[in-house]
Amino acid sequence: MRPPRALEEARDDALRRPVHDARTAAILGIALGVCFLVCFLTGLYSHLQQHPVGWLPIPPRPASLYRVTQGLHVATGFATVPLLLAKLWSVYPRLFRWPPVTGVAHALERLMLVPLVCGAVFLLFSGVANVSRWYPWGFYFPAAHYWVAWITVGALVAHVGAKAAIARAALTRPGHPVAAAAPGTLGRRGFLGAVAVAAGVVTVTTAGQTVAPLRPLTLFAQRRPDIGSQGVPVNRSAVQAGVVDAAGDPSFRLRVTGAVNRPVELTAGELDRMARREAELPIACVEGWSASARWRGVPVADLLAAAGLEIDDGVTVRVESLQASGRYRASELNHLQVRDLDTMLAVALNGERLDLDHGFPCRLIAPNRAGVLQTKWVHELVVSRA
Amino acid sequence: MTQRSPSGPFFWSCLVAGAGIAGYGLAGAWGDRADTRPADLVVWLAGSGVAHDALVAPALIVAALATRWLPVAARLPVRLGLALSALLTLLFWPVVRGWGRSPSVPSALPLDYGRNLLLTLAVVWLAVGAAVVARRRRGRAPR
Repeated sequence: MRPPRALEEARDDALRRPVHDARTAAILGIALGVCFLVCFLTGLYSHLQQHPVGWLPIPPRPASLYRVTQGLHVATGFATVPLLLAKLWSVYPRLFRWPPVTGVAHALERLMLVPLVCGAVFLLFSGVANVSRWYPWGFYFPAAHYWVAWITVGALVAHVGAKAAIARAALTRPGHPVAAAAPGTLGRRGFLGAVAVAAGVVTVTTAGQTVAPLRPLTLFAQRRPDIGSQGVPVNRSAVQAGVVDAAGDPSFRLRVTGAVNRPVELTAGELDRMARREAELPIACVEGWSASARWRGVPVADLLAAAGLEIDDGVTVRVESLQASGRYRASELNHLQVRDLDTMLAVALNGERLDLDHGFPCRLIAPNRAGVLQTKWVHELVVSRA
Repeated sequence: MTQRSPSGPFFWSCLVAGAGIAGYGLAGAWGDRADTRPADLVVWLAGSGVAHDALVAPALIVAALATRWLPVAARLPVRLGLALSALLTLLFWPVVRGWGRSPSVPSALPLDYGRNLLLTLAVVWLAVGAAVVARRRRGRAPR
């Protein structure tokens, strides 16, 4: 069953235009490949932070690594939306090829386009929805986004194998003959320029959520690093976490337990008096926003010393929140992070006593760490030794 | 139109490697099915592809056809203005509608995104207007 003649003519007519030729597709494809690689690697890094593996402990330095990688992840993802739409537009007429396949290799190549296109559109759609805090689906976003990224990258590798020779030929052939653009339509340069302008507008109006000089242009950022209680944004409030009563209870005690020589128990007041260390550290979210703040607190290493513990390579500390439930009610510190004196239980933020929404009576703050792992409303440090 | 069946050791190596990586993702998604909800995920994945191929791309063709009646000097700027406006509206519609707002987290989605979208679109269409005027003034048909 051949497609209708009008459709075939429209397709062949479109394919003669420079925006649909192999060279445009190759240039956009390379740009898109680079963006997907950046998103994949930065996403993988975030996954490793949240699902630590023993053989690759996340180091605490450089302190701003996480904010840079996740700012890059989200900014690149946003800029990729116009890029992906342009790329799909450039190859769209080829969707109506006839016959659809010419052999086994061709069939396999086209089959891999299904996860590639569906996965790419899905990753960008779900990512944009997530930073907009909109969840219209039934799955858990991080899990779905993560596994679909592997599926999409796999399909991308296969696609590169199928297209590398064609792309190289299209890019190296000197004076590649193309029909001039019709009046009112775009040539290749105009098309690529328009895509660059679109990506630029999207980036400039959102990147201010982590790049300070762009803050005045932050028209669509889902966060502003200067808006929030005590001048710092919040992702989960004390009300949402259900900790308002427990955090305000005067019988609150911070406990250091587990593989310790003597258990430590401190009241909020004692903790406050011990909190001498100050550090300027970013709080950085996987959703792309980050804010620098001045924190005052007690180094976790000092608390372990008070418990009679020497920090060797086998030490891990589980930081427990007052939250009764929730995926992020506890987080883990590896020995590298525990040794860093800026890894601390903070009691003050920007010179003021910590707000309830920021984790009063005390919260974890540590360099180079995902925001969701900076556990709030901490009441227990459980030490374990390998 | 020309068709080329892919071939050669590079193609087959990439295909095997790519299928392996994608297979790892599929296996992972299945292993994590309490969170990924495969039945739901498949609908959204397939929906993503269909939404582009059956809605977004045809909408672009319709817009291109509908703007054919415009004078030549205005055609390209208007088409670009439409494309950029559609992109910005689509991308920022969730924050404009504020679906993710929660009264207990006032620092999330703190801005007036509806006003900001209108402002941005106004700038886009001012630029379109300026481009049309400039092309008219040059008095020759643009390329």
